[in-house]
Amino acid sequence: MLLHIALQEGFHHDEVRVSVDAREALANADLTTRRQTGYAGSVDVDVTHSPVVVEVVLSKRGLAQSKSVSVDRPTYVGVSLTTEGGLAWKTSHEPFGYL
Amino acid sequence: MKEQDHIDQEYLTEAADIARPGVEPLIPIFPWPPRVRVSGLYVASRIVTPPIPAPGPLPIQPVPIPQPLPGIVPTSAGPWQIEELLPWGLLREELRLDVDGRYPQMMASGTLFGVLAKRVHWIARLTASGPNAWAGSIWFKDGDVAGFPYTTVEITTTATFLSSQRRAVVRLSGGGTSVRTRTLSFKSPYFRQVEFEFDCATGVTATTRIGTHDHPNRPATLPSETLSIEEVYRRVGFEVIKSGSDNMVPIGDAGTNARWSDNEMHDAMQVYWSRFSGKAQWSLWVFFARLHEQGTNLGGIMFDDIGPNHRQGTAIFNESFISTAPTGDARPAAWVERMRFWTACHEMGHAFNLAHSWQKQHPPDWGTPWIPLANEPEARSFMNYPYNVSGGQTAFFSDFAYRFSDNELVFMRHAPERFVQMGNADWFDHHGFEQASASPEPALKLNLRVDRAQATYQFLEPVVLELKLTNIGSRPLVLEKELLSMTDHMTVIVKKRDKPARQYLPFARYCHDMQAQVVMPGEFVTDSLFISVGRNGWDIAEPGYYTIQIALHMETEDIVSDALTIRVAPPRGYDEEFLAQDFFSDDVGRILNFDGSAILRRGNDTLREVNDRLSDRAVAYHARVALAAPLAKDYKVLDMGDRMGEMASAKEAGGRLRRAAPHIEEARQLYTSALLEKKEQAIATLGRTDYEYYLGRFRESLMEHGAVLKKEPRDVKRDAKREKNGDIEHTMRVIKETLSSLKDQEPVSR
Repeated sequence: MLLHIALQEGFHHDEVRVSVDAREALANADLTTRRQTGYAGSVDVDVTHSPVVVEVVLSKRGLAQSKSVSVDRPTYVGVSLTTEGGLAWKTSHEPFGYL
Repeated sequence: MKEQDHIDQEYLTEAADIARPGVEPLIPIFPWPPRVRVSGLYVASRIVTPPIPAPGPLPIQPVPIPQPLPGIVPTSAGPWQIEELLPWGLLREELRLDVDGRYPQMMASGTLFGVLAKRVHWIARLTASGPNAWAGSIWFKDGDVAGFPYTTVEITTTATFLSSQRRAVVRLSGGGTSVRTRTLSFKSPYFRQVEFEFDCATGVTATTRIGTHDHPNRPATLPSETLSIEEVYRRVGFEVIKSGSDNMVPIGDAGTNARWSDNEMHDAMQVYWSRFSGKAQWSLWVFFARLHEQGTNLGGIMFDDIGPNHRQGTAIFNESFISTAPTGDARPAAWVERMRFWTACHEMGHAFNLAHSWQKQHPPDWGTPWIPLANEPEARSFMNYPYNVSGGQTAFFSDFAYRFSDNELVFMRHAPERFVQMGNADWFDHHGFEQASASPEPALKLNLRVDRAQATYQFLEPVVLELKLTNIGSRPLVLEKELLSMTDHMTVIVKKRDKPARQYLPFARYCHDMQAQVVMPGEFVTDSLFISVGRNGWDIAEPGYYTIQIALHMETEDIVSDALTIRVAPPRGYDEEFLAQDFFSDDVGRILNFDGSAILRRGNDTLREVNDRLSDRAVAYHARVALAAPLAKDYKVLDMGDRMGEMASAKEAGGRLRRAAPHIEEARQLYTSALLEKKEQAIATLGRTDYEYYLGRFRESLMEHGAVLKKEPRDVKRDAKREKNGDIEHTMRVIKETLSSLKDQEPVSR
């Protein structure tokens, strides 16, 4: 089943690592959001069970959060870095669009 | 923007909306009593002589402004008065009044444009203070604000349906200084002007207009109309002009996969956009294509963050997710058209430097907003994502009036031009005349030229430019005859590489009798400009590269020349280095500028030394004509006797004019050496225009002092015609004949 993880707003030369059930899905040492679109990067993961644990680690900021995500159907997870320095998660069953 | 005497269309539309919202009236229904819409752009422009600055480079940063002297009476005069507070000449002033019409923001903003691209920008929030009167505090200032201490503005308009008679009186006060009152004339109901060009990839159709009632999910009060992108931005306050002819961009330019990368679009923009230019301009390229290389999840992008001039190009991808209507939508085709239209307006908003609605507050490492802003995550704005609001896109479009938020309108209408204008960058370092009011399709072209193959000058050689103003339009133009010699109509910038730019300030300004001349299409007028030295000192002296650019200020626009780069070579030897110490003086500068002096003896001594020791160098030609001129005729000298240098009137000091006798033979030798012996070298360094002028003076001096040529009347008539046409060869021959005839005559007076 498709699990799409998108890194969206707020990233600025960040070192980011995304893992699904402790398996690394995405690693980027210099991730920056393109402000015109609010998109920084994404990864598609084929998962075989639900739920899964998605963990996002921003090592330079000392920030790590994980979230349990149900993937009973194609699922799209968006992760943004807030102005307060935390992570904001949103989950959708429709693909994200950027403008 | 052209003035129009009319009740503008916007007013009619509003009147109809007010009368019966959402219903097209059969005939316009006017609100009663009738009201005049006064919002728009007001302007005043006048060339004002800048005060003489102290010698030295002009400061680029604002300088401390002296307070006005006690007793200065507040003026209520027009903008042609020399500014009391601004240390630079005021060239143009704008007011954007935003109190009625579509989405009034109750704001006013003003920009004062000075020489050398100096400017002040202010914004005030207004409340009505009476009929056609508003007042408020200035909450934003930008630019050279040191000379602009005002804190409050009061604005009164003359409400008349005839826009040509509409005025705004702007009274600025506060800040511990005198009140400043100016009257500006209405120019346009729009605040700014912008150009759009819509191009499509092969097989793609641009959605640039929609019917607002085509989709049933809409605000109940939304008027039914065919709405265009141009109209959306007109309602923002821009006078929108279409450029180009809506080109088709071959898909081959995107490579074999037919998906466009940002670089491919940037390349296509350079090729297909009729307005592409590496500079800031109010012009935008909008490109409609199938897909971006990122895939279907990218509906559009302001792709132009490449190179030095950003935000000039934006793209919409018709086959991305925006072409997929939600499952079960009542009118999927209309939904898709609306989404493509919305996306185009959205991406174009980015080109005006608008962020997304939820990006107004952002981490400090993203940069600095123009003012502190609040996020607007629920805004029904072109800059919000419809599917991100509470209730999703259905909720968004049920309450969307095809507009931008108030904060976004304030930014686009009133923020400093450089924040909003496409392609803008740090001002001045990249272009000296970003604030020039240049027309995108000027009728005149100003060229700077030098009479030599390569613009390289010897050390000490003065620089004389040839100015050529050509009518490149299709209609005859009436110009002032002496336009190019009236340096108070020009701003001349000289910038030495890696040094601050300087404004050339001529020693003198000439008042000419206003005589008009007709310049037909393709015809031109020329004149020379001696640019090395002026009141600002020697602007061109040290070896190195210099860039020169001129803005010619016409009544309604500025004609900006291309930049000319010249090189000054290093000194050839010890003599030149040694003489430079005396040569680059104010005296020598004045003598060269005024073609001679009988009283600046020290400067004349230096020029004689130049003529003796550097006789084969270009500077010697300039020295000779400057030394010859005062010797060639009777010269009136003001004799102040023993009181020379005292601060007293000539009359009080017992001054009198005395006549200095000419030294014709010496003048003749100097002129002959300067003008006749090596004609091509003389023209190259003196410039063709000045060379002709010196020839004429030489010939006149010969005639004045006894030379008589026996000629038939028809020869006299023919000669006059050739001289009038600037026939250098003919004038030279006449001079040589004259010199030859003088050998047979009595010696002239000495």
